[in-house]
Amino acid sequence: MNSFDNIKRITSEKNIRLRSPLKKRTYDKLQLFIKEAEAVSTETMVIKRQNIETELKKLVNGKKAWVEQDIFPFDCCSTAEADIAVQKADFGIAETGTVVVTSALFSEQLPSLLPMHHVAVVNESDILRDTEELFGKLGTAGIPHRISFITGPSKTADIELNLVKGVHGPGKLTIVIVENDEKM
Amino acid sequence: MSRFSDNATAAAKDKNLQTALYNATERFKKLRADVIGSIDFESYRKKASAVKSDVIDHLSYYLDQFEKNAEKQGTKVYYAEDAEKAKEIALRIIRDNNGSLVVKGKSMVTEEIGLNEFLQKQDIEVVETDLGEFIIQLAGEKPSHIIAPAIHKTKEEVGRLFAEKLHIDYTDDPVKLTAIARKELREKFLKADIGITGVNFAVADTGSVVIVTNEGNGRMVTTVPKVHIAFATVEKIIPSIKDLSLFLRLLPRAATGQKISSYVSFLTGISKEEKKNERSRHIIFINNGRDAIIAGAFRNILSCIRCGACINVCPVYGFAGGYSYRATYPGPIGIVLTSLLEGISNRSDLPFSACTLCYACQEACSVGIKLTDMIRELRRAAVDRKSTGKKLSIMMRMYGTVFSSPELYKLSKAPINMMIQKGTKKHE
Repeated sequence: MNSFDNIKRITSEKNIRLRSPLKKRTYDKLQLFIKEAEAVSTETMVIKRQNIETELKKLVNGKKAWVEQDIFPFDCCSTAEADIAVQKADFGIAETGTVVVTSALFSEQLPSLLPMHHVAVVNESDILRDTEELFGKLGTAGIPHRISFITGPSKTADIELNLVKGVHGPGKLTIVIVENDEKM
Repeated sequence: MSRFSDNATAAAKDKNLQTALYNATERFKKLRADVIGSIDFESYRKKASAVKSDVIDHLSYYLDQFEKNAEKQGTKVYYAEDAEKAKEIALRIIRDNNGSLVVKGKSMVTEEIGLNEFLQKQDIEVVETDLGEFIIQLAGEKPSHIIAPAIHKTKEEVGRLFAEKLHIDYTDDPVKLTAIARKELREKFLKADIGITGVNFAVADTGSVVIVTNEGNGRMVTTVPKVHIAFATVEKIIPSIKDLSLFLRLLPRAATGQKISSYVSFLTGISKEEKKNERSRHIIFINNGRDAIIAGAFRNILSCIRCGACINVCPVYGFAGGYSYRATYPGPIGIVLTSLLEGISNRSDLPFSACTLCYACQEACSVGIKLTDMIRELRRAAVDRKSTGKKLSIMMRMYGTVFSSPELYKLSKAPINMMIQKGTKKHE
């Protein structure tokens, strides 16, 4: 093989265009998001914007709960004490049923990490197709200090391959999807 | 020192181990097979291979880029020539931050450099937090598989271990055992000053450290303690965050048959506000022999993303288990890496005894590493160096002659087939 063949080989391999597993199919982003989330034992709910408070209160009332201030005031516990935490997520990723929590501060990562039950609230309009779309949005300069992709509950199979949920993180994940307003 | 074949013979007689290995490798193979077809695996691994080759070809360029971007965001970047240097740097960071309790995420490179033993000698408490790693740390053992470190232990063994070491009532219920570990380790997370992890990907164009876990311990370790120290061998770099879509689809599918793992954490520097509160993030890039590998004919071995697929499909690993290799990295990837890191002539037992040249690993590799071809080359190199003794050397030359002639090969297969049949019967 001469050196030009080599150049051709190397450059053509670099130019392989990968297809996202989704690209060729037609799909409904919201439906796919729900399907993929439920496939990994995530609970999902779709609610209207005006019902956020009533619906979420049903989840937290009477429990040791932590709720993000912006959603509604709920004075109870710290994230370390709470059994359930409700927090907004920045994005959803339909391909894998993932919610994305970005933050500058470590404390903003704790609600999705310490309590046994994590409730992520995500706007339907923030559900993206795949990670390509997300990374395009995030850019490279000054991306958030902390980004977490969360897909289903915390799990392990380290003891004789038995699947057990809630090892260190939440054993239960609920995603509350807030419908786009134009649907109202 | 016992050689691979002696260790493997002993392992083959251990009934518990044989059951555990069979169940685990079959399960991993099935999980991978169920999901790998949801992407165009061949194009994905070709592309992954091209990206990693580009990284290795231009490593110092990407390391510089990573350093520049990471430091801009507040991560401190260090370079360690070898294991000793890496441990010294870590110790200095821990001392500077008055650390006394370290919580650790799962990391093969810290196994490679012997970090835990080193820190414990300095009176620093080190707690492994991945459930499998926690179990083997309690047992005083080493991981026997790179993604399932306690693969060799039965639930009854774990139950007895927990009862003895954690002073609790015996149970062998995995759910209860996991809950016990959660409680035990939660206290450690909240008390720890220092979190130590490996790195799945170090992203050059953002300066981010990316960690993939299922249990959430990786998130805990990098979120709760004030100081995070990440250890990465130099080849963990990838050029761009945009390359991650590819690797995040490949790695979990190949490793555990998931479309994505439960958690992917991107850690990029530290905010000004956290810095004021003495929070910090550090990454130590370790060479530890990689420069010699890059200079040689086996450089592509550094493309490995540690998915473990080659280990699960390897028929020899399936009987011998991880400990037989007497090395940090078991299975086909371990044969090649260990030979290169410890010297071909020192570990010629591995390419000769731990491989049947069946090509299952090469077929499974997520990043297209020609593992079996490399093992064959290692044999050749060992023979050339005459490090294996004259008898074996002559045998290998005979093999060479036989395998290069179809007629001789056909003739030679009859007795081999008989041997294989006999061997299979023995295990029934």
